[in-house]
Amino acid sequence: MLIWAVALAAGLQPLIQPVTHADEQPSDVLTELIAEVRENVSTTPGRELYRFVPARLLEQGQVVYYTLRITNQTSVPLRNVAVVQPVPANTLYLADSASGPGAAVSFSADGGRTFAPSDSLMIEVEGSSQLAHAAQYTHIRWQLRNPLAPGATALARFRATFR
Amino acid sequence: MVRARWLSVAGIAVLGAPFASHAAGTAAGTNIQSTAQVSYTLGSSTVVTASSNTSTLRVAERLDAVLTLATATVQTSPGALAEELIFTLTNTGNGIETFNLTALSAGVVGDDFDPTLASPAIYFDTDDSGDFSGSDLAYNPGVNDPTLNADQSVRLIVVNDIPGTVVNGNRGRSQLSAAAATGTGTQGASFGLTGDGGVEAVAGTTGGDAVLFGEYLVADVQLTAVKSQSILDLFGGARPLPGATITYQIVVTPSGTGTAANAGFTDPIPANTTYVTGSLQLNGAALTDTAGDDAGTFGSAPAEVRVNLGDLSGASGPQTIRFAVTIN
Repeated sequence: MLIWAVALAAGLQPLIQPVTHADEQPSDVLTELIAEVRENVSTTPGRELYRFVPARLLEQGQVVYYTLRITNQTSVPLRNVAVVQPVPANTLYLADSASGPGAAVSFSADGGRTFAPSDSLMIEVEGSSQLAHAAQYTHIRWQLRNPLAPGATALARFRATFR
Repeated sequence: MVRARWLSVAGIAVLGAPFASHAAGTAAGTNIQSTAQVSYTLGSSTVVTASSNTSTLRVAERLDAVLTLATATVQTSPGALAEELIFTLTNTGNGIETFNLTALSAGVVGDDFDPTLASPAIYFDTDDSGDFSGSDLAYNPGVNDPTLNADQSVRLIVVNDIPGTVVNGNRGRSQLSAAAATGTGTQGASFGLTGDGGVEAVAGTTGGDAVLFGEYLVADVQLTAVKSQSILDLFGGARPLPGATITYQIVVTPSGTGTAANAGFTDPIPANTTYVTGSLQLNGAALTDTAGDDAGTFGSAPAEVRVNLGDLSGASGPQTIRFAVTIN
């Protein structure tokens, strides 16, 4: 219930899509995406204070803090949990901002066709292969290393700059 | 297979994003949406995929303006009328914005004199000629304030008269201000839901306004020419006998401030003498007699030498021209 409260406070419309397999039971996994921006509370030098507030309106150059919460509401462990998040349109992925405890993070620069860690994600430029910049990433993927226990919540975070 | 299924969903999310991108940034009112896809294995082998909620952010309208000048310093002369400064106003915000314009000449600091604003003082470059001309429409505050799309520019002309009392080297400044009609303020200042499509309008890095001054420089460049001659007669002396060669040297010296544009030098060949073919020089370098291939020309009807000196200012220094004739 706490999760729903958070989602509503964030001004978002929580939504669980039906499972894509027709022969499956309904999903009991709650996945929610929260977008926040950092707001200055105090700008006194040496005593800067920030708080995170739900993002509704963006200005250019602003950094959006995205958090994904994946909660297992079933009574069995979930295996091979993976999350794929497109970098939102009109934003640029901020280098090294993707994190997720106990997850392997990889990226795609080709619209999600292939994924690789940031230090080995290559793109083709005029026939030669070179390391992709963070700004060229199109998708982020988190793969949980361990099964997600019943009742547990996994967090995946990243930041993107609005342009 | 699992990967393939997510990707189809993710791919639609990307393709379906109806965003237009501007150099000035994402358009005001645009929604930025994001949905994550999750997959997991339930039980022994059942693979399930699901979507998160869609996070929607709306893009605020950023109010920004930039003014530039075609020429920061315009040369003028005492008493000149309708001297123009050519500005370009660009809406560097991300929405459609109307700008209020103001011109100011009296009291702009840092100059020697106040130009006199014409009435009206601001014009649109209606005929797009890049300068002030009769068909240009006067700016009328509150009536024809320019409305610009994101990244759009408009050329504006500020017109001043120059007092007759100014002297060589005096500088007079005149400034143009453009302010977003929605509001101006320090960066980040909010003007409520007054932006395009009812989004919040926020002052951008420029504060939503722009101020820029141009300068009139009273330029009174003077060119002085000093001509000298030397004679070499057929006997090695310096007597003006028939057949003797006279070499003329003319030194043109610019002084004062400003630039004499396209300065030219012309000297007729004296009567009873004949130009020595190929003898024309500028600053020690030979010039051909043919027109068009370099700065020098010998014209036969009337017989004269012509040298194009280009734009001369005090910094150009003296220009030395030489040519020779023989006495008939």
